[in-house]
Amino acid sequence: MSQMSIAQALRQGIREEMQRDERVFCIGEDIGISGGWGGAFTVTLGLSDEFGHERILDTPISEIGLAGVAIGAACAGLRPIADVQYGDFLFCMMDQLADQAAKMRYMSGGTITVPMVMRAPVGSTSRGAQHAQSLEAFFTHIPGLKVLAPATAYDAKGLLKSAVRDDNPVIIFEHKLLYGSKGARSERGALSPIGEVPDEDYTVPIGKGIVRREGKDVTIVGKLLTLYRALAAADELAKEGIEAEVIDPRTLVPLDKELILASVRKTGRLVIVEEDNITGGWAGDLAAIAAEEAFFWLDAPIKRVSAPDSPAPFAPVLEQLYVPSVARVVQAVKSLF
Amino acid sequence: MPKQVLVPPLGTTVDTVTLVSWYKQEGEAVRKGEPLFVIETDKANLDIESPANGTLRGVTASEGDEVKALSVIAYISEEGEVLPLVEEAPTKAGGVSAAPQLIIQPMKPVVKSDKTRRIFISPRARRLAEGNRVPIVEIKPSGPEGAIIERDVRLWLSEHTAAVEVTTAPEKAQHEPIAALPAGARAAERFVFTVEIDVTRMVAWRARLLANKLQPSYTSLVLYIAGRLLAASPLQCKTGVSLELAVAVPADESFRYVPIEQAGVLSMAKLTAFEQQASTTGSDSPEFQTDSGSLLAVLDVGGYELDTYSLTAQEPVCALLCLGRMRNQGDRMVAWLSLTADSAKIGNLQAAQFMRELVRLIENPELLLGI
Repeated sequence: MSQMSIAQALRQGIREEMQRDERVFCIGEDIGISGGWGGAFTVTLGLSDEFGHERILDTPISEIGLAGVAIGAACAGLRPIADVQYGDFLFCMMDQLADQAAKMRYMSGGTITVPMVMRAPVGSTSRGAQHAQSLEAFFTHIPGLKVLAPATAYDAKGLLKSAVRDDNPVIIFEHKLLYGSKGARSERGALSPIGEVPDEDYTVPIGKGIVRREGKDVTIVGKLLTLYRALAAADELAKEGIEAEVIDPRTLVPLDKELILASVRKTGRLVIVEEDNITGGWAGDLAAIAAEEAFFWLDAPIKRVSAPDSPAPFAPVLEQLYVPSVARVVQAVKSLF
Repeated sequence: MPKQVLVPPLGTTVDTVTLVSWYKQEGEAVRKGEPLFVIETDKANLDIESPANGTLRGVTASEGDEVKALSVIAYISEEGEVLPLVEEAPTKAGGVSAAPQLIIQPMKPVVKSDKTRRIFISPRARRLAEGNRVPIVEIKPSGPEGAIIERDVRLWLSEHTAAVEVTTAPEKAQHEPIAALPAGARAAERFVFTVEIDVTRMVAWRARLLANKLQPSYTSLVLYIAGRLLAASPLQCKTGVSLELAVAVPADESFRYVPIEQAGVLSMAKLTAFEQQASTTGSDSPEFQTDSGSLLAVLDVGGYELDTYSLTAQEPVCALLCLGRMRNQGDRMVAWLSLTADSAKIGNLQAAQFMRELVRLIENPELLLGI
């Protein structure tokens, strides 16, 4: 058992999978160059020294190219772990992801599988609107893709391993403020949670959420950064006698609906916190699920605490308004009582 | 100088508002800032506060009146102050008073037990209330925007459940006031719908069932149809509770009413057995209990060669469905069907819609799939 950051846990998970299975390789921009950072957020730092440039593949600055290579390699039997420096660049490879990777297994009658992992950093961190988006909802909308959102070091390693071993294309969204990246790649205002990570081989099952804090008065669902906002809000609320149950879905597709619905049936109130823009977000979809399947257990309207429908602002003051804050979560919960 | 009590102007879209009620009566003392009256606009009800300390005098608008924005509808005077001449038509006055002194509370919905007002209740609270037959109009809301939420229902239950357990008759009457009032006072609040229906097909249906060794009475057939209709589209009391079926059986000097649980899903065989047992044992047997809350009883007065019967006020059901005697009319069989109901509990429009559907099904029982 070691204490490590999410970036370290991911690195250890990648290393173990590459040692376990020689078909596993990494592909991305500046992930293995000497003197580089190990990708944008240090996750692959040092791996090219261990595994060489044959298995830590640096590509030109062309997301469409690296996605095509990764998906083709996966179709041909390898198990690539690809990454983009910023999740926003997934839009450059939308055809490869949405039309090719997601549908290949279905359209080939199951004869071709695409065991590819695509890692993508999300979250607004004062880097401007094209390096800031939360893209989970886009990809939960595409059948054929699995979508993961680990928020702790334990889950990051365990879910990465599950993703590598899964025969379907899996996108892992990682939050920039949670990596715990060091040195030049550290982020201002980062939370950088450190968690216990087993040294032995383990996996976290895809499709299982987890209750991070138990409570009886309201269910708050948060993922990635907003999980921590929800937990902080629960602390605040506890001071006023409101016991919030906080749920981390961990994986969005497939979603552990029953865990969330059981909690809503218990508490009668649901607040969903996410960093994505509110319209068409994942929060809206979860709200619909709760309204359809737990309506008669609801004691108040379902509330979403999301970013407004605007590009992420560059100005730090505006960004603080944009990303759901603890105060906004507290306020949303209180409005239900 | 007495302070004018003005109707507040509410934005540009509202010229007149309805005065819903006064919190204070003429001559009553009132303090500045105390709620004085309620107005209703097309959007919301608002509490309007008193503009001054003093006595409410010269009230010219009464509850239910349409009043114009900025019109003077009363005065607050201190002792010894003389009121100005009261204008004849307050709704036409005003609009010109300079610098009207108004205090408008922030938009706060006023929730009262007024039946015309829409009640907001969370789905969870409604579920709990209906499961416990709590009259929703009696619950005090404490939730967001004046909605009733679960804790309000629980509070009501904690305040009333114990009382019911150890209840004496008058105490129970507090939340079941219908049963306790004298007949004369209630008679005017019942309404009756009567219709002559074609029962040819129901008679043929019964003949088929008899051939299949089931012996349903016409009462059972009506119960069967009404049960399924209520299951598909519940008829709600004004309290929000859905009506449940009961069967009227003769007992001692009068009819007694035996509720049927899950009438909407009972098979014809079970319903028939239940009805026969209820008729023979009456409601003396302890397993049957009458419930005055929300029952729709079915009575076959045709068995007494009668066409119809309307409830007396003492009877502990809120509606009675009466099937009259059957007569030949050409090649058809016809009978009267009537519904008597307590208008305080059931909306007559709702009841009429229910009757229309019920008649359609009785006349065409094959519309109930699977019979």
